[in-house]
Amino acid sequence: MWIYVLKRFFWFVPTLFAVTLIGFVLLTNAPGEAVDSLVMSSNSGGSIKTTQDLEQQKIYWRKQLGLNLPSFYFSISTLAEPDTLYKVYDETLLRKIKQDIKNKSGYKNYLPKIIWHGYHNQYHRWLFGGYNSKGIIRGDFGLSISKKEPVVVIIKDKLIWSLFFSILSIILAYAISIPIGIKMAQNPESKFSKTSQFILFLMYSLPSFFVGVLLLMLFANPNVLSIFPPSGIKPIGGYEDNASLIEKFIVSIPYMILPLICYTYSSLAFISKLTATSIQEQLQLDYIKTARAKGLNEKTIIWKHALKNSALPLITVFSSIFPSIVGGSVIIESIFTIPGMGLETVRAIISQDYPIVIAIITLSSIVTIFSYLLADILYAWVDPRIRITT
Amino acid sequence: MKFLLYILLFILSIAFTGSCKKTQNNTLVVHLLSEPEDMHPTNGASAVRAEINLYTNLSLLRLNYKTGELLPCLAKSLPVVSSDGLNYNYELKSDMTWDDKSPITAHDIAFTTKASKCLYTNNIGLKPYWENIDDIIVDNNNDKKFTIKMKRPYILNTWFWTDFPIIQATFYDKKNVLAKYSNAQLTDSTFLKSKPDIKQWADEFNSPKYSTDPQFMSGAGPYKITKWDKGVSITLEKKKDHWSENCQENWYCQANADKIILKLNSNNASALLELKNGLIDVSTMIDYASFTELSKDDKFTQNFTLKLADTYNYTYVAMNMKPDGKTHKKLFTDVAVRKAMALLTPYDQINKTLYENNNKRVVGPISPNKIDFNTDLKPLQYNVNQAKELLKQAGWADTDNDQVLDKMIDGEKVKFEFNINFMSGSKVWEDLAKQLAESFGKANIYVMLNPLDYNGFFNAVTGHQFDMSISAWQSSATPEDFSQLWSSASWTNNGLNFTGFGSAQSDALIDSINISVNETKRIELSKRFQKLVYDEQPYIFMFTQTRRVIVSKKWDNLVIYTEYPGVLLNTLKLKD
Repeated sequence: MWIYVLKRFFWFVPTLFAVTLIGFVLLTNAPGEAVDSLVMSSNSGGSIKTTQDLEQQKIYWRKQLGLNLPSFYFSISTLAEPDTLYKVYDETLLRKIKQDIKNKSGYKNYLPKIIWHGYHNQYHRWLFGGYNSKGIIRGDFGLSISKKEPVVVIIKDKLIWSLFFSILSIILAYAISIPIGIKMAQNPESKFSKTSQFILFLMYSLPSFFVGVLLLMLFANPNVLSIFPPSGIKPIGGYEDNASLIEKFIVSIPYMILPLICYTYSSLAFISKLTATSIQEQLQLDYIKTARAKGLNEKTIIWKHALKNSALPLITVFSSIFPSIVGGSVIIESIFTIPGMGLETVRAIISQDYPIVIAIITLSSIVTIFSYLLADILYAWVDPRIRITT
Repeated sequence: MKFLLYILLFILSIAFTGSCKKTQNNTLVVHLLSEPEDMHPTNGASAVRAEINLYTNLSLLRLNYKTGELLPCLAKSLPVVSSDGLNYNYELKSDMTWDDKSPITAHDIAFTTKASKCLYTNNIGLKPYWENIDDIIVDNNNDKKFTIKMKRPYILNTWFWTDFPIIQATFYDKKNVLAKYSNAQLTDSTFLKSKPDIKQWADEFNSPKYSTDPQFMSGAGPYKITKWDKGVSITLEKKKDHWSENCQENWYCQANADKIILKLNSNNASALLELKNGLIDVSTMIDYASFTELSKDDKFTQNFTLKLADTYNYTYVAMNMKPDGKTHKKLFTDVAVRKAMALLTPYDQINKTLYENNNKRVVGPISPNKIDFNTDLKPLQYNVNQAKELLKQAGWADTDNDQVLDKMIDGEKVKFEFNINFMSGSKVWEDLAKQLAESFGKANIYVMLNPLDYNGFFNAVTGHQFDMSISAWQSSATPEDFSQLWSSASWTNNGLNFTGFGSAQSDALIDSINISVNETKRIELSKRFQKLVYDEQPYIFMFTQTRRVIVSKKWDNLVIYTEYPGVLLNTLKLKD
């Protein structure tokens, strides 16, 4: 067992490397350039001109942010293209140069070439540090291109809120749905079971943006019911200066209810249905009949024996929803104004802030790999028949 | 189950006692659609940042929001300008001080300029605004007097100071590094390489603490940022014993609310509910539909003032006048075709369905709200028959009966079909594109919608890789420098002249406008330029945008301006 776990940990490194590499290459090759976004302001009427000064500034900041380097250790191009083509950052000019080369180079356009750039490249700098970053292997994700702040500082608080809501919603979903699923499975023909099935089906079908707005319109609307605050995660004036963590939590409870419902309802519906089906299957099996024949009470049969044996699909679901804790939810965060990872991810993608995007990809990858590992361990724990070949 | 019920009751009881907690008296809560990227004194360009700076910082000059003219702020009066238009002599007011009670001097103006011009500082997008300043000479005998030497005469030589806060040299440069160097040295990359002390200062100055930590934000304005809860709110508090208490006649000195909380909410539905719950006192950013809904709510209008205010911004549809003919066909090279497209635009329908009939038409490159707007130019009206006639005159006809116009261009049969680009994520842009496509279809023109992300959109227009593109320009009361959007050089350099508009005549006119310090002459030239643009129709000029102002009746002194931000928060006064 432990050897298996160690082996899985060993595979962590190359998997992470591959994921970040793919993310990095895709993002750095996306159309447009971050420095241009920095230069552009949407004001007209001002006096921004494409001057020599501005070009100097672009060159300077491209160097500061490492954007003047090739993306990776090597690149693949045609024999016709020069090795230093990566230095041309202006996309229009680059298109023109490529077209000129293509027109002049004949057969060389069709012969591939690998260009070795060495370790002076953007990916190496991001991984191992250099200039103004210590590198991801030292826990430094570098500087945000658009905000020019360390990535860790930007995502730290946002990650906390996303983790808080996601983990709490997963706990709530399991804590509520398992008892409901069991009750439904115990008597599938009962009124409770049939009503629950209908409600759960309805819940599962509703999209979160609709439920979010519906909850607001029903419970934060002075024209209907004004029970909960309509947005935010804390009072408008913030917390009291010397408030303890518990006091802050209590003050924030009204703000958390509606977003939590929104985060939870869909997985709650799914897990309840899954639990019900799974337990129902178990209840038909011979070992349950034997347990009943031996005089075990129904509670012990279900909670100790049937639930444990029907836990495999629940673990699978857990391993698939757990990685989402890093990504947050764009829609829910937007509706309830939660400063979480979802909105930050969208902002970073739109502004081509690839240090932030890659940091998020890396964190998501770590959590995904970890959740699969955890799922494997849990499989073995709930069902000793599952032999893990080492 | 009983346990769950108890938890539910506990939560509801907390919710009932804790929800919708209103703020203390004399605290103004303002709806914010997005927060600033940073609040660094020189490095940043967002509109929200500029608005906050109105209350936390002071500039050499400010805008008189009522008259649209320049207003001396730190300066005692408007500058005395030399006859060649290159030297601007200023004197600072004597009673103004920084938070540590040290006086504001000409050295602070010189430091602000150096910090903004230095190649190492992180204000890349703003440097061109400072480019025209050659030097600042402080009077040896009076540190309140100084001369700003400009490189060229330019209409914005005084106006541009309204946009930039003056920063305290002793706070941001404790070792007095920049004082040792000239503006020329600070913009010379070769010189800078040999000066590690400048690099060290710039690294410190650019560091995030000056952008995000209120402890490291210092300004001369009557308010101070005391808290920035990222993604939630920004709190400004009135400074105690501030010199501004003695000059309440000027808007920039006023600080009537003890606290201003800028509360972030990017979702219209919850922002609407926050307003209904009375949790927000001021909003200028809610969408048209929500504004209309609120204006019909009698209960709401009892407590809130709702007004639509003009702005200087306008929406437009750009047409590529100089396509390469390969990736993008020569569809809009003929002025008759561009006029036909303008005639095929259902302005009234768009205004009604997308803007609740609240927007005004624009006819040229500046808003009708500006003093130099050419009133002789009349808006083109929706007229399908006239448009068809113009297209016919331009040689477009459906020769193969496939319901799409075609024409022989450069020996090739070209169909009148193209993409309309717009930025994805905006429902208004998408609906606008759909309505245009439908309307163009009436003249047998086939249009495909092409939503793009910011970078894709921006690269397409600046790289001239588009057919038609929907967007908007923001503007202000400041005199227009047309070179950025309309000069030929701006098209050649892949600048903001997307369409390819420009001729020797228009370029000469732009240059003349830019050096016309005489206002009457500038206005006359500006009107001539507008006529040139109008005749060429490089854009389908759509509408000025209106600002949706909602202010709680708890607050007095409400004056609504055309200039951003529309309402000066510091002047609002809590009713007795």
